[in-house]
Amino acid sequence: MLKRTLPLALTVFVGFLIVFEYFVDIPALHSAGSAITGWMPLIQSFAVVTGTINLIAVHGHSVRTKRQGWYYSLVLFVFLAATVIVGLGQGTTVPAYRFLYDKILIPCSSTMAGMTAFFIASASYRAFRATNTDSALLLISAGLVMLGRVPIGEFVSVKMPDVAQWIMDIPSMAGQRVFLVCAGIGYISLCLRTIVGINRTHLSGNE
Amino acid sequence: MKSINPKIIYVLILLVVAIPLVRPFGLPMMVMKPTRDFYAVVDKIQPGDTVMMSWDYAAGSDVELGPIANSLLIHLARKDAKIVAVSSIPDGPMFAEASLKVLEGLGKVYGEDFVNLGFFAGGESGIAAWAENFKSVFRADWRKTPVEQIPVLKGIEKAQDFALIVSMNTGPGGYGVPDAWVRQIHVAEKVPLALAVTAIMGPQTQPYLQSGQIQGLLIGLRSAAEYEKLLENPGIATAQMDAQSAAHAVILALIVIGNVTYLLDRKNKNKGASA
Repeated sequence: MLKRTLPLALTVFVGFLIVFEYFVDIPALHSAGSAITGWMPLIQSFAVVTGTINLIAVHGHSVRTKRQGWYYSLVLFVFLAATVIVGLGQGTTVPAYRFLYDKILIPCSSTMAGMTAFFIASASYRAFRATNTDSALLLISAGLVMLGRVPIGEFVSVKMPDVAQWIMDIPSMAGQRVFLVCAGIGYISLCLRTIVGINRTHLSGNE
Repeated sequence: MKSINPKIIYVLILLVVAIPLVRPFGLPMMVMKPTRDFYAVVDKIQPGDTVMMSWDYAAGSDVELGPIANSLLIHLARKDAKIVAVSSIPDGPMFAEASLKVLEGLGKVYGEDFVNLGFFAGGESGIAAWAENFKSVFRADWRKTPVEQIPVLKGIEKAQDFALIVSMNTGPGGYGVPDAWVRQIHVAEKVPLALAVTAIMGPQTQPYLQSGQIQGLLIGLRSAAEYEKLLENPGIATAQMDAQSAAHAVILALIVIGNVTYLLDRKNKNKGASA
């Protein structure tokens, strides 16, 4: 009852209320919908707590069993503790917190992101091949967009940025719209299945 | 045919990116229509209007979106607009703090001309919540000052109190993605919305611009450099465009070499098979 029926009844009630509140102009519904929407950020904030507990459980197991690369988990614990102690103890605007952010997190994250340039260059040489007409078309259009999006393209031809923009505005846009419309229909379908209780993955992981 | 060692490619990329950063070539660059349109939208802001800017990106996208944030802040400061900074991802407020230093350099006063409200939880639900009732989500700023004591927030009760909302967005990640901003700000609240996204997010965000659901769209470093040009204030994005030009040229050359070797190999194989 408490594990399945009550959460399911709450999902159905809240789901229908939020949908009706948007389409039907009844002040009582509006204020109820508005109150529930206001709770959501608060409820979702608890995900940080559950996420942290999960992180500790997974990496704690890794350290205890000395799995391959367990010392990376130890590094995670050190910095997790440092960030929590400084953040909760002194606040997020003190120099110590800024140091953790500016001198450790940002350089590490930027390095991770920057490394993709090397892999893209290597992968484009090895894998981006014109094996048939479709891949040749993709290759040519990608090359034109790559040239048109940087100043060196204008150096090759003054028309290059316009060609790149045309590819983005017409053929690429047509494809993207198909994705967006299909994703939108799928999203509505998933929401409806959840609201009426057909999709119950949020309750137990099984439908 | 023997292929190029990946290590040679890595060194080549390192050199072509590093050299222009140290010694820029200064390649000329035209300003494209989407950037001119975005500039025009910001230029319509009246003195005293309040604009919300959301730092929805983390370190990996700072190189592309950071220069855009700085240029927009300079433009808005020139228009004497009030600026409210928020973030739908936990990393965002730190980047907002770094960018907002631009305003202090222009003589703007924290609390009176701009404020950083920090992170709001809930992604799309969070946007929907403050769009209807601003103070239900934002109780204090990033420096823990209650919102009632912040002059720049006087009269701000809901999303419709903003003249323009701009999300600088890194895309999927379970937080306030561009689609969420379009749904909650343009569709539900009818408030003018503009987006600045990373180059990889450009194609999937462009349909919103063409449909008129967003007022403006800036895509990646190129747009940042173009905006700097419009402001006549060349900065880091302009310098980085030469590095990006060189990297794109090398990657294209590698693709051409890869395809020529592939075609020659295929031709040799066919010859061998027919012989």
